[in-house]
Amino acid sequence: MIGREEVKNSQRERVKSFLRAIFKSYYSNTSIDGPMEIERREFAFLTFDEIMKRHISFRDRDEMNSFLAREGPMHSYYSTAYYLYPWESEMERKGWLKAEVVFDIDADHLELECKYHHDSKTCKECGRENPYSAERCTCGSKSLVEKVRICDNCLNKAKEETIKLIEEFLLNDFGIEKREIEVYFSGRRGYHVHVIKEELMSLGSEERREIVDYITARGLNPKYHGLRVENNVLVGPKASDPGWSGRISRLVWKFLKNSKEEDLKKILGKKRFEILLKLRESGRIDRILDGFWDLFTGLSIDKWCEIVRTGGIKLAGKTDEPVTTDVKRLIRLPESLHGGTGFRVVRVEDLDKFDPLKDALAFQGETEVYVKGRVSEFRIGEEIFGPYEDVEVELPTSAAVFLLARGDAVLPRF
Amino acid sequence: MTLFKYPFLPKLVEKYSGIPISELSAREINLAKERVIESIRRGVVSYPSDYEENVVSYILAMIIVASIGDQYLRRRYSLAEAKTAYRYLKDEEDILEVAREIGVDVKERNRGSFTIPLWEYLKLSKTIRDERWKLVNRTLINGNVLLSRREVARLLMEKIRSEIEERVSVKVENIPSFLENWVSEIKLELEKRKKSEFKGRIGGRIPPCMIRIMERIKSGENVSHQERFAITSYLIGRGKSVEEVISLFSSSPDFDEKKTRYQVLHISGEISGKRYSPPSCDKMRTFGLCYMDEGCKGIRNPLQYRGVKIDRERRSKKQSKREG
Repeated sequence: MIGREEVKNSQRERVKSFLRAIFKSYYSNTSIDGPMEIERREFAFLTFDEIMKRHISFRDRDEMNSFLAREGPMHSYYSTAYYLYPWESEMERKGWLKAEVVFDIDADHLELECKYHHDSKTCKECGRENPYSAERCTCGSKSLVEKVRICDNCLNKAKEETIKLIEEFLLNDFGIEKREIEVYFSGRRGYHVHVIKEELMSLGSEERREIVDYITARGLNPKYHGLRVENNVLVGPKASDPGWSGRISRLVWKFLKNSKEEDLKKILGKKRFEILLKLRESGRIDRILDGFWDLFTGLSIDKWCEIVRTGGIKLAGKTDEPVTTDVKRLIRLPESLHGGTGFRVVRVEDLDKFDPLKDALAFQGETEVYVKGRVSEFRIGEEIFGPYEDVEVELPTSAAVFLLARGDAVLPRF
Repeated sequence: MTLFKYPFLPKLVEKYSGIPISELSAREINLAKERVIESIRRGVVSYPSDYEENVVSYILAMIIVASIGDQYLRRRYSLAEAKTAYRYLKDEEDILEVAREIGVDVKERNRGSFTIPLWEYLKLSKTIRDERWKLVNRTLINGNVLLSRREVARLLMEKIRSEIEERVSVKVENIPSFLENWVSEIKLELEKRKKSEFKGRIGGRIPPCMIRIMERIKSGENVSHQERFAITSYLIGRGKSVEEVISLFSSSPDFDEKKTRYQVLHISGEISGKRYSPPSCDKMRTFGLCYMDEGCKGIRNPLQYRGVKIDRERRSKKQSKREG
C-alpha cells in the first residue's frame, strides 16, 4: 500500500518536473537580452528543487541563455549593482562599482481591502486553508503560510501607483527622462521601475533613502514649504507651486473638501467643523489653492501640520523601501518566468494599455490538470475560468501553469 | 581677483605647489604651523592677509597634517578650513565662480536664488542632519533643488571639507626635514586637545549601545542627532552634570560649545522644564543603534541596564556563596 503522504509527494514531484520542463522549453525558444554590461552582474537562481544558486556570472548573453535553457529555474534574478568580480561570494571582494536605481511597487504593500477576500493562509501542520485574517488555524496551529491570489483590483491599484510614481515623482520632480526609465511587470502583483541614469547610479544607500523618503513623504514638514504666519495672517504654499509645496496645498484642500465628517470633527473640533461647512458652501475653501490658509482663526501651525500628516500622506507615492535603498539588491531578470505564476517578467512600454493577465502570458496550447479543492473564478487573457472544485479540466497552458505553480492543481493520473 | 582669498581653489594650489622648498620663507613655514595649531585649538583657521602667503601656508599645513597621519586631526583640520571658507562664502558675490572652480554645478535662477542638480545635492547634504535639509523638505524643480546663497555656501563647505579630508588622507612618506620640528610640537598640541576631552568618567555597567556612541564621539566621529540625543539623555539620567556631558562632546570635530550647551540644557530640563528620558530599547533598535548583549535581557530602556546588572551580580554572588 502507498501512503497518502507518498502520493502527495509523488504528485508534487510530477508537477515540479512538468514545470521545469515547460520552463526549459520557454527558455530554449526565447533569447533574453539580459541587463546592460551583463559581465559585471551577479545572477542568482532558485531551482524547482528549491536550491539557491548565487554568485553566478556570465560572460555574455549566449552563456546566460544556454544556462536558462539547461536549468529551467523556478526564479531568476540579477544584481542591480555592477561589480568588478561578480562571481566572488563575499561582498567585500566583489568590487561594487555602481547600481541602477530601482523602485518596487507591489500590491502586497498597498494594504488593499481585496486581499482579505481572495488571499488565504495555508496551515503548515494540517494543510487546511484559512481566511487571510486568521491568526491561527482551526486546528490550533500558528504556523500559517500566506497564499496570495491576483485580482484585477490588485493589478490596477499597483498600476495606478506605478503611473503616479513615474509621472509625478520621476519625470516631474526628479527631472528624469522617459528614455531613462524601464518598467517591468514583476510577474505577480506589481511592477519594477528601473532608472538607468549614470548620475544616479553612484548614489549610496543613504542618498537613495532620501529619494524614497521624498516619494513616501516621510519627514515632510510643511513649515519648510512656506506655511507661516505673516503679519498675523497664515499663508502657505499654493497649488501651482513645484514639488511637495504644491502637493501640500492640493492635499489639504482635498482633505477638507472630501473627508468623512467624523475624521474632520476629530481633528478640527466641532465648532471649526461648522465653519468648514460654510467655507465649503461659499467656495472660500478654494483659497487654500491660492496660498491663503487663514480659514479658521486661531488654528495653530502645528495643527495644520497635523492635518497635512493625516490627510497628506494620501498624496504620497508608495514604493518598497529596501528595494531602492539596498545597493546590492537582486531583482527579477527581465523576460524570465516567475515560478509562482508562470508569467513573464515582461517589459511594459505603455502602462495604460498593459494587461498583465494577457500581455505577460508565456505559453501556448492546452494542458489538462486536476484542480484540488476550491478555486474561485480567475481571468487569463480574455477568458474567465472557474470556479472549480476537485475536477479535471483542460485549460490553456498559461492558465494551467498558473494553477500548478500556485499549488491549486496537480497533473491528472495517466 | 577676490577669489584669491580661497586657498583651496585647485588652480591656486596647482600654481603654488611647484615652489621649491629653498624659496619658502621662514614666515610662510611658521604660518603653516600656526594654521594647524589654530585648527586644533579653535576649530577654525585665520587667513593671512597676503593671498600668496595664505595659499602657501595652506599647502604646507596640508602636508603637515597628512604626515602626522592622525584620523582625528585630519577631520578637525579639514572641518576648520571648511568652516573658515564658509565665513567668507556666505556673503560671496562670486559664489557661482567658486562653485565652478571646485567642481560643483550651481546655477543662478533669479537674484539670490540658486539651483543644484538633485544627485549633487544628495551627495553634499548627506552629512548635514538637520530636518530642513531632508530632500522631502526642499523645493525640487525638474531635478534641481532650489537653494539660497547661504545654503549654496553651506553645501560648498561640505564639498571643501570632504576634498581637503581626502587630500590630507594620502600617506606622506618623507616629510621635509625643516617641517619635522614643527610636527612634534603639533603632536603635543594634539595630545593636549584630546586629553582635555571627556575627563568625566562614569562607572561600569553601561549598556553596549551607549558605549558605542561614546567611543564614536571620542574617536572624533560625527554622530547623528539621534545618537547625540540618546547619549545625552542617558548620561543626564545617570546623574551626570551638564558640564560633564558637554566635555564628552568637545571631542567632536564640529564641536560648538554654545550650541551643545543649549541642547544639553534642553534635554536636562533646565530650559524646557521637561527632562527627557533616553529612547526606549525599541526605538534604539529602529534607529539601528541597538547592540544588545547578555545584560540587555528583559530591559526596555537603556537606563535599566545598570540596575538589572547589579541585581544579577548580587544574585549570582549569593548563589556562589551558598554553593561554596
